[in-house]
Amino acid sequence: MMLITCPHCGPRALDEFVFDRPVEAITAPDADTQTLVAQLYKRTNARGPSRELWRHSLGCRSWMTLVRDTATHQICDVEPVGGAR
Amino acid sequence: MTEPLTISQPSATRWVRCEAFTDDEAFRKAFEAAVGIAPPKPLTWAVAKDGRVLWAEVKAWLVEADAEPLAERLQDVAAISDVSHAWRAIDVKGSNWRELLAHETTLDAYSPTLAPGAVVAGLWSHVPVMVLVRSETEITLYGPPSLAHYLSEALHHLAGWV
Amino acid sequence: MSGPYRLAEGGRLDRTTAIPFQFDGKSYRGFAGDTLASALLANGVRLFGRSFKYHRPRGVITSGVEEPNALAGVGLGARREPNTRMTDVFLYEGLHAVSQNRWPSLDLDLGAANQLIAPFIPAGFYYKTFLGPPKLWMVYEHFIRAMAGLGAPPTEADPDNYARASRHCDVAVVGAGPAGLSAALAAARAGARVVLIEGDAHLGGALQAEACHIDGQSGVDWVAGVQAELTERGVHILKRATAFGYYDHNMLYAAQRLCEPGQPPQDGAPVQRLWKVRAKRVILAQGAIERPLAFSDNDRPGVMLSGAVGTYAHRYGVAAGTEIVFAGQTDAALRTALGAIDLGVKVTAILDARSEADIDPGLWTMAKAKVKTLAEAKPVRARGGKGVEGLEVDVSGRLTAFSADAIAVNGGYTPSVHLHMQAGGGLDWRADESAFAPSHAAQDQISVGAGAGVSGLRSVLQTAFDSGLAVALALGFDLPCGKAPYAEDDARAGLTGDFLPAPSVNLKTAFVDPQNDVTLADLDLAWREGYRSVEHMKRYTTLGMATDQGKTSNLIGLARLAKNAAKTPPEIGLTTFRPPFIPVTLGLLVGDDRGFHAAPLRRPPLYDAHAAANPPWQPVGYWRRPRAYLQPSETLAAAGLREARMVRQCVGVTDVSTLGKFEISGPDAAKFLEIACATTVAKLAIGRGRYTFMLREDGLCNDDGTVWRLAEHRYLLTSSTGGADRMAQHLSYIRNVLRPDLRVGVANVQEHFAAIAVAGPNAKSVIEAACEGAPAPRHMGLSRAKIQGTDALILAASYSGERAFEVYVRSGEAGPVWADLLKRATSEGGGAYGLEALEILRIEKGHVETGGEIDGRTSAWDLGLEKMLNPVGGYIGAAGQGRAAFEDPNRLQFVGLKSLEGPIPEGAALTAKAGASAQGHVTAGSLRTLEPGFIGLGLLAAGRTRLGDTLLAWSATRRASARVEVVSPHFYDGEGARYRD
Repeated sequence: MMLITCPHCGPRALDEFVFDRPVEAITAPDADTQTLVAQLYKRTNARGPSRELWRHSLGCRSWMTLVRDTATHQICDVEPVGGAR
Repeated sequence: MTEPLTISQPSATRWVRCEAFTDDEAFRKAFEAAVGIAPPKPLTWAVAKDGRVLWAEVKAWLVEADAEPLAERLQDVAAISDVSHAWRAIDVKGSNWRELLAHETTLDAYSPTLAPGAVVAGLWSHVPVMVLVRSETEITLYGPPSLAHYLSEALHHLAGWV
Repeated sequence: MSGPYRLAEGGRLDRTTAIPFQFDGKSYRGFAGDTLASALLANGVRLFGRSFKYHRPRGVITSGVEEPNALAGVGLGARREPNTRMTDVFLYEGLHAVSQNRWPSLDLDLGAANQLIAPFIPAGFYYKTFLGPPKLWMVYEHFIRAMAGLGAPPTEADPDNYARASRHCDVAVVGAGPAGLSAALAAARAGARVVLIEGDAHLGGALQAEACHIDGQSGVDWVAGVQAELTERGVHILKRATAFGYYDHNMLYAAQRLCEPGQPPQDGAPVQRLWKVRAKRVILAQGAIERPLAFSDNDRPGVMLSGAVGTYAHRYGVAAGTEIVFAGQTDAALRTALGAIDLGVKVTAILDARSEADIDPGLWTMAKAKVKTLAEAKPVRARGGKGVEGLEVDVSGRLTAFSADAIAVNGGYTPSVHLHMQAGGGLDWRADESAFAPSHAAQDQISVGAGAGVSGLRSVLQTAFDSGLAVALALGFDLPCGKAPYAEDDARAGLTGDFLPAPSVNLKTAFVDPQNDVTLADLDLAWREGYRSVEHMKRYTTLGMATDQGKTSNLIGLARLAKNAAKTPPEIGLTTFRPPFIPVTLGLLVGDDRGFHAAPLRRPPLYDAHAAANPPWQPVGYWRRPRAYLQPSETLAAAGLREARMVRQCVGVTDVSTLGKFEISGPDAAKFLEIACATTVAKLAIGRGRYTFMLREDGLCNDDGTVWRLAEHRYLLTSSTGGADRMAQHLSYIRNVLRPDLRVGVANVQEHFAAIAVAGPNAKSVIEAACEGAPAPRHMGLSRAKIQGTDALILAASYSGERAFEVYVRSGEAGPVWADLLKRATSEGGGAYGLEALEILRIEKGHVETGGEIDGRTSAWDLGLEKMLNPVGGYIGAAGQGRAAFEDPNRLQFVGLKSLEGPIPEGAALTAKAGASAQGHVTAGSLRTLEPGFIGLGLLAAGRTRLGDTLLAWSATRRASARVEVVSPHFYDGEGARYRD
């Protein structure tokens, strides 16, 4: 049961969070089709640190990026996204 | 054992949602002028002239007030929406509320920071709730109206076991 | 209850309280504080069970949770817990236990015949026999299953309640023996929030197994004092709670018994509690588990671990036998033997496999003074059948024999590293102790005490205290802690003997894993047959795969494999440690999540009003919506059709409160909406609305709904019920991740508003009457009014194809509004309608539905919505639509289907003929409302170019089909004359 440290609420159980996408899959609405396809469908899928976009949906509902190690589940570098702190 | 907990019936709130376009000086000044107090810091709540004000999300606060007058005063700096019936409130009174909360929750019910003046959001018995601590023996739980019946039943059921 | 097996005094018992209980139909008595095993031993019972495969007679061999043999079904009826370790049940009045795996009785078990065919059923025999033909396997399997297995589960539903609790803390200490108590003391004194988890009913752990002195007091008194101090310092002490799982980021799960297995609770109180403890740091003090020795017939009832013999004497006042031989190979076992003698247990001989040079001289001298001692002595064979009668011993190569009715064996101590390993830790091999001990930890945890391979009471107390202190300091707690608890005694376990059995041991009856009947011969067989890896040895022989997880046997098996491979145990490696550490019941894990609480039921605001009519309910996600309001003796299908006709011809009222709703406001509201929605929005005049739909980034349709301009910078966006939560996440994503620069706010008002749709030719008059004469809005317009004194927002939109209005009121005020609208509708000849009618009406009208035609694979073109796309682009999905696949003419496209026969089965494949490959499928089907005939909607390859084609709608699962003609999906009022002004 992983623990993620929300920048506002502190360490909370995984139950409260929703994984949205890898950061590399954030696309702009006005991107061209080729760029969009590359961002949406090409994944590095590394065994190791993965930069991801998460939302604390069942807590303070804020968005954050973090680095999760896909092998060890270590979580670090949690950064808030959007909105002044 | 300590005296039993009292649990109120779910009731609607008087909340208005105030989401700042940008959390800057202009917004804060306008907010304080309209509401009477500065926007509370994250995970805290306070009492203003019309009622409670609490930090709900990044750049968003819930204010007990009438929506239209507040909208008129703040519409240049914030989005104001009546959300009074988007939540139901349940008051829990008794010295043992932390034990009831610790039944199955993601929250640290015995945390020293969960004290009067604090408001936290998390899961209690599968329901997304906000817990507002009013005093050492009083809290208010806010949950979605669709789960108010479920929440109330679960609270009553488990209050018998703490 | 006195007798040769109950010592006259001593033990942690309440001898004034006698407790009656039953085992295999016979009545016995024990004392409060006894376990089922200790009470049976006190009563002279030695036969506790029959083994799994060979049905050999078995007795209890341990005094703890690692027990492999003494398993019973404890409890009556629905409360029976099979495979309960009799060493882990404390007596209660009325305890009812039955032995397992024997027929007709424990004493006369016909299954023992298996011993006659033992040569043919060694480990893995079923891989070599029963080879074919496959049909006969079903026959063999029936008999194998009847013979195999342990215990019988109850067949009735579980009547009990199970509680849950969550705890956060700074330091969680697992185990309340000397190490755990010492560490908890340090951390608590330093100021940390501590949770202490102990599986026994009392604290103290190993201190309850022998006499000792700490800080000038007896062990028991010291423990009582520590418990009082910890409690005063606010430490949360969980007793009778076994930590069974160690999960990511220092999450521990513990199973706490509030009642003993099978014990009925008082007044529906919970019988167990599942603790979920999240700690910043974990200190593991689980102790060490003793391991037995391998020799012939070492499974006879009466052969026990030496520490168990000591515990039964010291804690339970029970003598395991009247002439006991100790056969060990550590100094600790020697001390246990001496301690037992001091309590009055009759020990006839003490054997040690080591040479005298390796034995602690002081202990050996003391032993020689009290009883016959022999060094370099290894057990060869236990004599006896249903109970030990003697022991044959190899003393430096000579064979000699002893008479005995119990044999206390000791092969060494294995630190209990289960939780450490579950947490991803590593192990070091300790050659002197012939055991693995924790090395590095992957999570924020540390092991202390015997569980870390530390021995000597003084050392254990000191090092554990130091660890507790260090952990607290690392967390920033630095209040003064005083000194560590002090014990004069610091005697070590001593050099441990090896794993080799005496040369004349018959390996076929030298049991390693008694629960699965695995012998040394089986392990050697696996090696000979090529199963060389420890993983293969485990699965092939089933060593360590029983309910005890091989706690007393895994290391012995590993050592045997190492010997065969001419390697050391660390070179062989270990199998994976997995939770749960002890068996846990399903009831504990399910907890409250059953019946009413199985899944949170989301109630729409008008739930009570609907429930009063007792309608059949449709689950929609976690919501429940009424399917129809049945009249007496009406079928669901008939009710649906009647209600749909009522809407077409008169007026109907339905609850659409579950729709997603969002209030979007701010100067950039329109800009925001034109990113989220694929249609134009900015052109809407104030007071007007339009249909809209939203795409995913990949260009496919995600959801549809409506958008209304309430004021200059304020909009209301609606979406489907099923997509509401998805849409909330999506809008927040746009607001916070993609465009945080926009001056806009999004409020989720799905539950703030209740929404009631009034539809039909008479809808306008109903609305205007309810609004006290205020005019109803024009089509796709909105107005505000009061109904029953409540503020209402009225939106003129039609889903059914009739003139319709959606009335939005605050959810807590909806009841009287619904009642009023329903009353007015009824007085005009109409009434309430549910989901069945809603569906029939929209099918006839040809509206696409999220979840039906919008299924995540269809584009705007596929659905016939392409004309509504915002020509400027810039919306989410615009770029995705540029993908080549969108041009494929054979894409599944939205069509209508007219039946040439009977009903069109939903989900049916659209094919040329039965069994041919599908060219599309039916998404919805129904009767027509006002004319005869059956219609449907579907998705068909190149459907828009195939109007007029005839196909077969064929469903293999429903065993139904109908010939259909492909038509336009708009069956009813294609121009919208029914609701336009």
